[in-house]
Amino acid sequence: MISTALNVNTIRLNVSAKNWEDAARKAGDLLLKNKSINEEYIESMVQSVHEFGPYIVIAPGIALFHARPASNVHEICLSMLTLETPIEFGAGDKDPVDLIFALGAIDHDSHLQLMAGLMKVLQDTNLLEAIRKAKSVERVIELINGKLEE
Amino acid sequence: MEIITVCGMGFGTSLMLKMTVDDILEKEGIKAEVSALDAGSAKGRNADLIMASADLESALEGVEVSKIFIHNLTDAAEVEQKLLDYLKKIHE
Repeated sequence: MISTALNVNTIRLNVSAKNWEDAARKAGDLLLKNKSINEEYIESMVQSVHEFGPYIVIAPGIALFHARPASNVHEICLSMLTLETPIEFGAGDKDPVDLIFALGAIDHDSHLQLMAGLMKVLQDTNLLEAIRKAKSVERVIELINGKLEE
Repeated sequence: MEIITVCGMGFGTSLMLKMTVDDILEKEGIKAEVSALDAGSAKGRNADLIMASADLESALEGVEVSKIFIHNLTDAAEVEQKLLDYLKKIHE
């Protein structure tokens, strides 16, 4: 569930990232510290963008890093960063990006419920605006949980 | 009919798209099988329709299946409009 995956350990606000690779590593590091993934997975997420292009920029301003599920993911996990300064992905009019997610999945579809929750959050532009303006991680969690209880 | 939603790896954005498409089909009372696949597997599948992020257009070049490309994957209205336009067209 998104409400368990996104918590005080996996959300960081106003992060400074030099470029998209740096953003991927910073989002991945939160999952690494939680022991949800190992270091290889972070590199896989970066490689996926090199391989398939910036399609992980799923909506204007929003990137969802992920890579193929493998033994380097220990549990379904998700992290989130808001960026201090938006960065370019080469994603055309979906650039610049200031909301970063990193997703780890263990198989093809066991993270379906997590994705459904994430979609609900990402489809609500007013909520995203509030998340971008939030001053604390606790407030972001409150906003997300409030949305999921609707 | 069979619809496949496609992304680079077959479990991230394709899954998001599948959920949106499933919702639309249910709402419209249309029966179709929707599966999420990676770009490689999608190439060998004989589906009626492929739906994917617009950024994957070049990766799916040469696949002889009708395709719908989505600009904003979180925009259910865009997905719905493009899918319904397609369905209307094939029934004409």
